[in-house]
Amino acid sequence: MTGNRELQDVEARLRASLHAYAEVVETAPGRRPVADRSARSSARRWRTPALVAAAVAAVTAAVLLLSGPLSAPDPIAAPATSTAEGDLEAATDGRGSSGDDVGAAAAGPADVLTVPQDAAAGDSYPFDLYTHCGILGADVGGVWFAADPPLVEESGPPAGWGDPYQRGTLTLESADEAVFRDDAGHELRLRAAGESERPPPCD
Amino acid sequence: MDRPTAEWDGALLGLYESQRPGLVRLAVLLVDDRAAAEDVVQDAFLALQRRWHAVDPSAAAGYLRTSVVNGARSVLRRRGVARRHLRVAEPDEGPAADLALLLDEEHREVVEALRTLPRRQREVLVLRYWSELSEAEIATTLGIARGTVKSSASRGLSALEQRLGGRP
Repeated sequence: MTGNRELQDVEARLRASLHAYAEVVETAPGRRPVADRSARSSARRWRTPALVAAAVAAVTAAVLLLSGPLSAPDPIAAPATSTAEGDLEAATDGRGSSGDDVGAAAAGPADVLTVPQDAAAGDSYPFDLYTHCGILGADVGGVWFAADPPLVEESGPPAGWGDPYQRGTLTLESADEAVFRDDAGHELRLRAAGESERPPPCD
Repeated sequence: MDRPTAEWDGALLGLYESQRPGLVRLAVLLVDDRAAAEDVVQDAFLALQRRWHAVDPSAAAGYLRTSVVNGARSVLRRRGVARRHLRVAEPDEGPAADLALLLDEEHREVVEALRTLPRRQREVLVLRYWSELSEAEIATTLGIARGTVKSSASRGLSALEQRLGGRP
C-alpha cells in the first residue's frame, strides 16, 4: 500500500519535473492567428447541406410528378414530434424530416429526447445532447443554452462522447443554468444565451 | 452579444501574447512534440476567433485551455492510428526532437514514466501539477466529473510511484 509520504514525494517530484520540462520549451513569438481557415471552413460547412437539400428537392419533385395530382398530406407519414435543436441540425444537415426512410435512418435516435417548454428550475429530463458538430450547447425548452465551456475536437465531440447524440440527463438548475450528466461520467454546464448565439448549422 | 471586430482584434492579440507561451508548454507536456504543440495552440486561437461571439471574455483563457487539451488528444489519436495502421519503412523512433532529452536524468525519468500513463491520467496530472488547476477547474477543462478527476489523479500518482520505484 502506498503511503501518504510516498505520494507526497511523487507529487513534489512530478511538479518539479513538469516545470523543468516546460522550461526547455522555448516559445518564440508565433504567427498571428489568421481567419482564412475559418472562412474556408464556413464554406465547407454549407456546401454539403446545400447539395443534399438540392438532391432532396429534386427527388421530391420527381415523386410528386409521378404520383399524380396533389392530395392532402398523410398524417401518418408526416414528421414526428419537434426535436428542438435536432430540427435545426437535421433539417440543415439534409438528414431530416421529409418523412422518408433516408431521413429517419440518418437522424440518429428515432425519438430524440428534448426538454419541454414548460420546464421549471429543479426539473430533470432524460436528454439527447447533440454532439455531432462539437458540444456547443443545447436547446432547453426553446431557449439556447451555451456549453460552458464548449467541447470541440476537429469539428466533432471529444473522444468518449457519443456522436451525433449523447444520452443523459439534463437538469435545469435555475432559469439560466443547466447541467447535463451521463452514465459515462460527463458533466457539462450550460448557460442561457441569446438566440444570436445559437450556432449556425454544420455538416 | 456580438463584439465589434476592432475590439476583438485587440482582445485576441492581447490573449495571444499573454496566453500563447503557457499554452504551447501545456501542449508540449501533453504531446511531447513542439511543432505539433504549436499547431494545436494556433488551432485553439482560430477556434476562439470563430466562436468569439459566444465566448465570455473572462472565460476565454479556459476556452483556450480546453481547446488545447482537445487538440492534443487529436494529435495523440492520429499518432496512434498512424502507428497501428500505416506501413512505415523505418521503425518508430518517437517524436522527431525529444525535448525530454534536454532534461536532467531525474526529470527525464519522471517524464518518461508520465508518458506511459493513460491519456486522461496524464491530462489530469499535467493540469494539476503544472497548470496548478483545482479539481473543479480540471473537471471543467476536461468535461468530466470532479470524482473522475480525483480518481484519475490518484491512480496516476500511484502508477508513477510504482514506475519510479519510490526513489526520491
